[in-house]
Amino acid sequence: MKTGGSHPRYRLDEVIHAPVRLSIMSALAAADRVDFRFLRELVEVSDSLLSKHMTLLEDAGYVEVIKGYQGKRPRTWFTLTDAGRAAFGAYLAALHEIVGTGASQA
Amino acid sequence: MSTGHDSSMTPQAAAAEIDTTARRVRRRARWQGWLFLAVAVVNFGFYIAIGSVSQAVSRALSPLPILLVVVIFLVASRQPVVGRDAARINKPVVMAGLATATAGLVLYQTVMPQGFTGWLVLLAAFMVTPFLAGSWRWLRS
Repeated sequence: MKTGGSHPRYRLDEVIHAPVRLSIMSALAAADRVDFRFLRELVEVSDSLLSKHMTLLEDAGYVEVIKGYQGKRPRTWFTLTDAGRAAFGAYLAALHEIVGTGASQA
Repeated sequence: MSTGHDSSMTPQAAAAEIDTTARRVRRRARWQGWLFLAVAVVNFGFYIAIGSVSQAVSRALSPLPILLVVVIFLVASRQPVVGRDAARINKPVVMAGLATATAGLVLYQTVMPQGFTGWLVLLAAFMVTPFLAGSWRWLRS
């Protein structure tokens, strides 16, 4: 029986390879920073679910949370860290190997 | 709204999701290009227009493009998506735009012939060049 490890699917980062987190990472990779509200509407999840996934990505060191104010209103931005961009790049490379061409660099 | 269950997905579905999401985010970040284009058009029109009014009115109005740049810069900070490389592109464009606007203002008030002339058109074009370049950079992506 062939053991796992050499096939590119084994290089698909499980932190990223989940529907909601993949959408989040794709969005953040395509921008410098994205605000909470836009991201929530883009990914079509609830506030609490988005927060849960962002916490997981932040704990993995992939995402940085930037809190600030717009006037008196609190505003939360998300941006990919260098580690997050590297991890997403590696994920894309593995994905390209699996599907041939397909996903373009976000 | 998603129920939150994070089932796995096929690589093909993942590739499609990445493309779709990235396209939507990039489209939302193009406001930066349209904003720069608006600044270029408004400033160009403004400088051409003040060439046809009295000298006193022209001089009173001449700082307005600089104020416009500042106001639009503040409006831009309210947008939900800041495009990739924004830090690398926007600051040089705005700084160059302020520099050309200031230089144009000084030229207009010191050595330029007053009234509508070809020099005024050239000067206005020079002043908006950084914003046209910035607009092209964002909108071509």
